[in-house]
Amino acid sequence: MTGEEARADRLVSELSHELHTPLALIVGYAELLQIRTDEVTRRDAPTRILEAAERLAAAMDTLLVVLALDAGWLSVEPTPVNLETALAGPAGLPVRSVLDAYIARMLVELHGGAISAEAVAGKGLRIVFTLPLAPEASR
Amino acid sequence: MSAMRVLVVDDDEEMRALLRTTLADFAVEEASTGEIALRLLRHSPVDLVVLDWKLPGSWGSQVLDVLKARYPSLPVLVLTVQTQLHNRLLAESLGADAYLTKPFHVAELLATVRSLLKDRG
Repeated sequence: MTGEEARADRLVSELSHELHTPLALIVGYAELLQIRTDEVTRRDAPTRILEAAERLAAAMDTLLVVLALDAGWLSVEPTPVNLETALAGPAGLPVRSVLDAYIARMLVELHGGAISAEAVAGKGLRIVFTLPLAPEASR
Repeated sequence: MSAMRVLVVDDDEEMRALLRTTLADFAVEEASTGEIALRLLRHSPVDLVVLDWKLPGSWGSQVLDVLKARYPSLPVLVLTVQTQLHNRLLAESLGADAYLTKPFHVAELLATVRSLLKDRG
């Protein structure tokens, strides 16, 4: 197997895992709902299905980004940016789309940070990026 | 009679939860890696292993190879997202007793598990 073939095989394997696992959860719990009548299954399975659907939607967003990168529709230009300042500013990162959010998440996670989301009444979803303190700031 | 013991080896916690629910008629043990599974089997024998093909730190093929060398009569059901033919052929060549892909049908999984366990009752 050449290097390019190995890369493609690994990519297919990763994408297959990311897409098929939540799909398997949805199908599995839906079938359990069809064949079982116990209270625990009736109570838990719908929640599990919804959680798996959200996971599948996120995986599909990732797949779209990968396909766009692979097709050359997106390019990445390295540009110096002070991520901490950008995130702490009043406007924060300009996240206007799922793709923006995906890239922002990757940037934050690459810097050892975390991302969380919370519902804000009447305003939709508020996405919170958390970065670890820089060494000089933590002293 | 005590329930047959099934070891589920899968790194995905949600998938293990689904399999635990699906296999509720059996005594289900769980492992998130091949290493943990092999360690668990040393002290706690089971009647069947349900093995994912892509595990942290190792491939299911490596785990299957060790399983079949140490416990030749222990049935192993490979349950994986890998639909490519070469993975199925590799699993079969290493002695996998069954190979199902995710998403799977609950009825088919249960029928396969019962079939593999019928000689161990």
